[in-house]
Amino acid sequence: MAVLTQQKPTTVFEKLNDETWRRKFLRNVLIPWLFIAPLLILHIYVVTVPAVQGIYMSMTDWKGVGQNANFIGLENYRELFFEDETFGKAFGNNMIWMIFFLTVPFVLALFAATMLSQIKRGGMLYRSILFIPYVLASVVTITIWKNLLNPQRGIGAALDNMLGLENTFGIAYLGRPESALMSIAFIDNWHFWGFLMILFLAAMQAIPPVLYDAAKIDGANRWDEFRHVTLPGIRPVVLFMFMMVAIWSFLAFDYIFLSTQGGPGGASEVIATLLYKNAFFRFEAGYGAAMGVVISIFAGFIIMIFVTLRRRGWDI
Amino acid sequence: MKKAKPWTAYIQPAIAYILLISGVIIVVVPLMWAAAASFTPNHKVFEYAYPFSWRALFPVDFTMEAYDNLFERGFGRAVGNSFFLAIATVIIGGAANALAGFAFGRFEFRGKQFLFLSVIMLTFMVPVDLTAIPRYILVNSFGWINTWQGLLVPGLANSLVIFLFRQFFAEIPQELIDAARVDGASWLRVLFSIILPISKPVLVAAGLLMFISQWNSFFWPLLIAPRQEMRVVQVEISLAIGQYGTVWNELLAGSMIAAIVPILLVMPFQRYYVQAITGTGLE
Repeated sequence: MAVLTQQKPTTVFEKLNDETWRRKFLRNVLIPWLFIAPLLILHIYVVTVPAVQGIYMSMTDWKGVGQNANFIGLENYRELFFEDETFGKAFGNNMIWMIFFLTVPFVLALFAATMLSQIKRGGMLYRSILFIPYVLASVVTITIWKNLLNPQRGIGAALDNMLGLENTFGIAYLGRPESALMSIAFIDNWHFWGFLMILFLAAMQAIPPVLYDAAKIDGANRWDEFRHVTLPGIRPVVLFMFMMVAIWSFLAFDYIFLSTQGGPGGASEVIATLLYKNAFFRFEAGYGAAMGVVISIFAGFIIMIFVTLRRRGWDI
Repeated sequence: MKKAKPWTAYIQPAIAYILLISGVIIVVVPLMWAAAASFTPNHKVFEYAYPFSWRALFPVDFTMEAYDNLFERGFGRAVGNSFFLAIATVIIGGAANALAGFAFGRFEFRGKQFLFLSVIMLTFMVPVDLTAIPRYILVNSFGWINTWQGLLVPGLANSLVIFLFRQFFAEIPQELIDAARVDGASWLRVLFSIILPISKPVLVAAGLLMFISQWNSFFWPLLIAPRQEMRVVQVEISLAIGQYGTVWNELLAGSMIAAIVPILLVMPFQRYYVQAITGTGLE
């Protein structure tokens, strides 16, 4: 072939005249990038530029209005970690939120998925019904549960009435500092756990039935089966969701914003609601941006742990 | 030799059914109450809830009053806005995400790994919270407050959907593509006449994911398009939640409309939807 005997083209003009080079360029550079271009433009506009701006903003005293923003270095971060008690409280609430969501929905979902995988009749129906809350909007879920948790006419009041009690269950779950955060977590979990259940169930159904038969032959009981066949089989899904839920816990916003706005008295405040208030009500945009950066760092930290464990040879 | 099952063999399934049914009750009762209340005259919404009777779960005093009032006050416009926004997201975002997913799944090019990690992983990692305010400022500086492009553009790129497309496209047998390439078809042609027709499951799943996440989003629309004519369903409802003197049956009627759309969409396609969320990132 003639091409093989030719000298490799050196200048740009020679390259452009060379048929094989043009084709290679088209196939390996131009076409892939053309395919990616629309997404890349969106991504730069929606994520990259705002993220860089956010990081810069976090090192200024910008109020969110007007032009004068002074560069103040890490001052916002110092204030955040060493002076601002509301931030400490919000961070603590995020941790409580994370502990709640790393346990309660996982236990419920594992339990229900195990039950569902054994059921022969109507499994699909149960599964569909338990999954419904997940597709509902936060706005819808909160509207319903705000009524159901109402102290005068909600479930608690009805329960008191039935049991002949007064103000025992019929209390303002969302309005009391002791119970506000946990009540919102309960509502969010009502919406969320079905999603985990569906994931776990799908993973369980992908486990080869042969493994269960083998376990039975070895004389394993239900618990042994669960521990030695089911759990190892769905482990990748569970661990991946551990990571995602841990990250999401730092982003918790919708349910809290819509139900209590962080109240009463900061009892259900999390970083994201605090960030929102600082940016849009207290005119402390730079300070709010610093909180956003902190959330991102935590998210990155969680991913790092996950990646490190995977590198170490954990089967995640 | 066939032995009758001992009665203890029924305990386990019985417990399973009891637990599942209680789970179903916890899901269904609140929804039934809300649905029933939305068909009840406003002064009677809480009549059967406290003291509680079964009547609270069925619209015994049936009326369409709440729905009529809601639509008289322009809720139809919000429903239309939500539909328009969600469909536009599916079409435009779907195209952008599918093209990118195809490139990530099928092409070899320099910088691919880096791009994939930075586009997908960073979006997973960089929370909306970090970018919401600067993005709001950016969108504001374009003069896009209360505009369709302001509402639409930030919701188009979806890393979960790109991931989904990448997985799917990567698994298509190479021979299928080679055959078409030998026949002289362009890459775009290969995408549209060979790959898309066999991609129905992934398209349905990606469409559902994008439609539902746009239909359910409230925070960004609330920030970016608070003007009456631009409001979407979720914004209308969220603005009504905090108000004093809330007309509860109307608020619940609005919620039912907001709820029924994703439910009706997911139910028939549940299989695809589940495949989609299980097929991403879990390999």
